[in-house]
Amino acid sequence: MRAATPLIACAALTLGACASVPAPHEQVAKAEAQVDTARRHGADQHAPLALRTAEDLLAESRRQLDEEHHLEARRAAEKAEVAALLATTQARREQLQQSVEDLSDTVEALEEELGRAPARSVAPAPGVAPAQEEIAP
Amino acid sequence: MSRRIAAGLRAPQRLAWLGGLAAVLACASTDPLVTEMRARYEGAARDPEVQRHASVELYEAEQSLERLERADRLDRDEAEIRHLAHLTQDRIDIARLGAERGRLQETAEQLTERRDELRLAARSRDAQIAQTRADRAEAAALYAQQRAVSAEERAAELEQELTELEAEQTERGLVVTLRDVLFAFNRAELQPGAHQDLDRIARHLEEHPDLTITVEGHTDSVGDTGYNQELSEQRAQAVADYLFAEGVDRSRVSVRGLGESQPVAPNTNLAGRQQNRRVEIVFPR
Repeated sequence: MRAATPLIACAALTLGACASVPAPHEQVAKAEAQVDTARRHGADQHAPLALRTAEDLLAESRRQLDEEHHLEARRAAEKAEVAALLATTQARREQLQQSVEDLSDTVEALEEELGRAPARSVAPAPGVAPAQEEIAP
Repeated sequence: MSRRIAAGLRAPQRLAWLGGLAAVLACASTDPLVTEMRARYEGAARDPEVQRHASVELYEAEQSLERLERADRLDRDEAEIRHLAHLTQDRIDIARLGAERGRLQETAEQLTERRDELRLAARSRDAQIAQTRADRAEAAALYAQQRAVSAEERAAELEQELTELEAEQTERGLVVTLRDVLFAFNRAELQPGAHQDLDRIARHLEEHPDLTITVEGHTDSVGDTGYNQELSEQRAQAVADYLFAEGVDRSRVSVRGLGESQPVAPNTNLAGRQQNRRVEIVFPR
């Protein structure tokens, strides 16, 4: 009996832990909202892999929720939320990268047209080759 | 070895020793994954670009890391640690991406500013080029004009001078029309208002001694034709007389009465009739 008590307590705790994990509706909703935001920010075009990851995780969390695997559902939802945020940030980054490249081209063309060297240099963007500068003789 | 040491201790000491060991183990047992995440977080937190552009994302990463470390201290299970480490890693990645995003944003703003400056410069340069072209065209036109026939030049000059009198270029030459308001109703005497216009014409004739003029009287169709003819002659004569009084030589002025024969507007309404009652001073070509 004395030896059995801790065992029973342990079992009770384990069962209790399982039963006491509430259905993570809130986390799933948050993940859904974040995935929507990512789509609105053009993640399907500019960060398709990251968005796909988030969508898969969201689907996973819904499936787990349906099967009342609350713990797994919560974890998948939390992962989906963060993955979607990652997709949003990446999409924004890619869009800006594109803008910077376009702007660089425009500025370069204008400088050429006006036939003069850049009045002041702009820090080159990461991943963008710095515009060729004329070397004064 | 530890078992041997523990066995050599008395019961209370043994308990205390075990408690101490547990504490030491708890501290030392920090999951290597957690240590790794702490290091990665601190690496990101030291990056000035991250501090500058992604402070919110960095804060979120820190929150995630603290949650992970709390779970580790409370000795949660392996799966939860792995889960929280995954979230922390994503949060750190987001902070790093956020820094790049911020830097790109700044670059885009600088480039936009530069582009606008250049566009403005290009536009004002274009305007300057257009202006230069226009100036050249104008100069060329002026040159051509200066070379034009002197007669035309003179005609233009005359027209300019008579513009104030609202002279009209017609087939007969320049025509200045004096409206009937400059005459008393049904009378041939000039009203004082006519003097100003006639003084100008007199001055003009004085300045151009080679010019001759014809003064023509006209009426509307109201009343007897003979009477109208007479009235038109009288009015034309009144104008000529005024000019003679101003010193214009009689030989330079011919006077005609045309009666109602040459209307410039229909006689069927008041406005038309008013236009027809007039004296015209013609500067023949």
